Amino acid sequence: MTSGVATAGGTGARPWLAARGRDRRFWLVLGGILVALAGAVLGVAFGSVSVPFGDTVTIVVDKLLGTHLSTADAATQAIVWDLRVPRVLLAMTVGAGLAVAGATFQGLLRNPLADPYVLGTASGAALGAAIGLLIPLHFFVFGFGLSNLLAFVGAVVSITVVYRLARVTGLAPLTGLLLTGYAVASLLAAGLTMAMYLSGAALRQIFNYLLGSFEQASWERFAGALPIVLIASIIIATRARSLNGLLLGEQAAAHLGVNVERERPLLLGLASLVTAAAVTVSGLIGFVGLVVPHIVRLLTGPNARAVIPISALWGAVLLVYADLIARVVGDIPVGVVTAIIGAPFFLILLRRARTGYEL
Amino acid sequence: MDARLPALRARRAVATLAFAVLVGACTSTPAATPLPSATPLPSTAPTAVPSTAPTAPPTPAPTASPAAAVFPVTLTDDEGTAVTIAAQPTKIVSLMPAATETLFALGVGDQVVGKAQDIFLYPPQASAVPDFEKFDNGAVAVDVEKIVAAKADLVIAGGNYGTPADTIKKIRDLGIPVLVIYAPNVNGVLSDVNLIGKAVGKAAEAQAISARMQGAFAAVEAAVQNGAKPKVYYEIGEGYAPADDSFTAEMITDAGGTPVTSGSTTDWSLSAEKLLKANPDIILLADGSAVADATKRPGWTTMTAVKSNAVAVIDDTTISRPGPRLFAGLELLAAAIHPDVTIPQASPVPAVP
Repeated sequence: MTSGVATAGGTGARPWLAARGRDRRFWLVLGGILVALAGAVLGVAFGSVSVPFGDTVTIVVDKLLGTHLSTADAATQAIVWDLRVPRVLLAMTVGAGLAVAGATFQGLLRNPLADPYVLGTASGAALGAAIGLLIPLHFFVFGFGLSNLLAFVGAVVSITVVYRLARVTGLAPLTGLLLTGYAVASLLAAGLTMAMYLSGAALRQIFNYLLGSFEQASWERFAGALPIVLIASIIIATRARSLNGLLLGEQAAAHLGVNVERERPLLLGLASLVTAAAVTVSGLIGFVGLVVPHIVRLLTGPNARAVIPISALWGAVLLVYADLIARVVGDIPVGVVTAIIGAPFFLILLRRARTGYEL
Repeated sequence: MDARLPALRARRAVATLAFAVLVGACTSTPAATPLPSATPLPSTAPTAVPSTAPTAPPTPAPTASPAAAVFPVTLTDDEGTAVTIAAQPTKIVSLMPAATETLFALGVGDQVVGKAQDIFLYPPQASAVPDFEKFDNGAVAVDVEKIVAAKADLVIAGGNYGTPADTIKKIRDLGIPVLVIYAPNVNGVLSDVNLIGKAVGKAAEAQAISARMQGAFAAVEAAVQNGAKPKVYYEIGEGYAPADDSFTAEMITDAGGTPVTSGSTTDWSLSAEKLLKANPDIILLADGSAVADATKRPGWTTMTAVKSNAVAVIDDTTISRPGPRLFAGLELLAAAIHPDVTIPQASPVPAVP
């Protein structure tokens, strides 16, 4: 699995690093699409139960085309079509969303350590999910339980509060946002700790949420997350010019004709919405949103026009393979796998980066 | 005692032996008492209870006298540690809810001065006993100071990480005997009842209780042994099933089912894929999940259990708590697995304060 990522990412081939940006972008896009497709096939073909490859193919063909080629039993059909296919699609959606959100936050906040959770989103979502698990009220709306809904609410509320509070500080806008985000996140984390302290038997579920997982993937969850991630990411990608401008600083952006007062909250809101959708369906998966945009920027340069879509592609790739490894090895949190396969790769890229790398 | 006697009849050899022990202990006819401690009784009795000896009537109190003769006693606990108890304990701390139940069933509930927090509190009389151990943020927190302040002379702790190992060492270093209890299987639960009985000077009562439990187990097993053995998924948590050879898996087997296990003796997780592949006939939700929610999980409609409406919620505490009520758990489980079979119901072990 790792070799697939490494080859297409271009670490092994020094000439790629020296090649001109446009060629590199071409290869990153083409390679990303191929590796993602391979990952999707592998993700549907492998799991904790072995299903013959022929069965997997016929089941997927049957479901897509309405044919009746498959002779597999109902359980196998459900394993492939109701468990694996939505799981792979959800992993890709979340990976793409987190990478886009990370790239957006890093650019907007001009901070290399920014990730999708930087403005308190994660703490808000986690607290919401924990409260949802503690309330003994069981219902499902469209495949989402109370904890999912409260996670979404928590994420959206926390980012709104952070943004509102940051606007009334006397600090420079970026500093104010980062520090307010940190303060609110700390407060929410205290609430989460208290919720875990009081949770008793629900503790394991809260812990699972904090680690992130696609174990709960379903068609409903995919259908719930996809529109938000897709539409918001596309809007962010079309605002690449604003992101590029804001990367130079507010004044420079204004001089370039970017309406800073309108664009910044819009982009922040969209990235937060994507993050909220992702944490709602999969819990808190770290690392993807922080590192994938950096890897892409190291390889292509800082132009958001390229960074946003390529990050989405490789975020999807990273999570689909990480989830596959987590599933096949069994019982490893997917966030651990993303860090294990992503961190060394990132370190290698950092070592090889010749010129001073900046956002 | 009278209520127990009918249940004791028609049991196997072990039950009969215990019956003899029980009758012997209660009627206090020294000749009929087959206790191994019968021989040293005359020599140790005066030294063990010097203050009560002069005032005691010629025929000594039925249970106190043989029990006093047993001490000091050295017992091997479930971790293989030799634990010496100098005199009959009067201030007992139970760090396991199951042991608390056993102590109350043995009739020494009034000597329990501290207990582990029990959110499914049983017996109700135990609510008066203060909690010396709390489930604290995912970890077990034992208040050793309270154990010392209560002048405990016996602590019953949970093995297999039930009570933290360093806590057990700390209490032992303070000179308080700690009996570590861990039952890996049903027989272990029976022998633990006896072990606790010996530790508190109620060996005969413990024999009677374990014999009753064994009899109740045998009755349930006999009722279901010739029936079908449906595949049972016992959901401990979403994505968690009993491990191979685990206590819960043994209970399901004894209740006449074939447990769907995790496929490992140490890992309790069962992926949704493996569950669908296993295709259980019966699903028992022991984790508080609602039937209506669980059956909506992806792919579940393909399973026989869901198609035949054999999904039910079940109370995990009576099934998984390794205490004197365990047979009631087996009866519950057997009734859920074999709704068409009449499961014999043994009368509960009364909790004597």
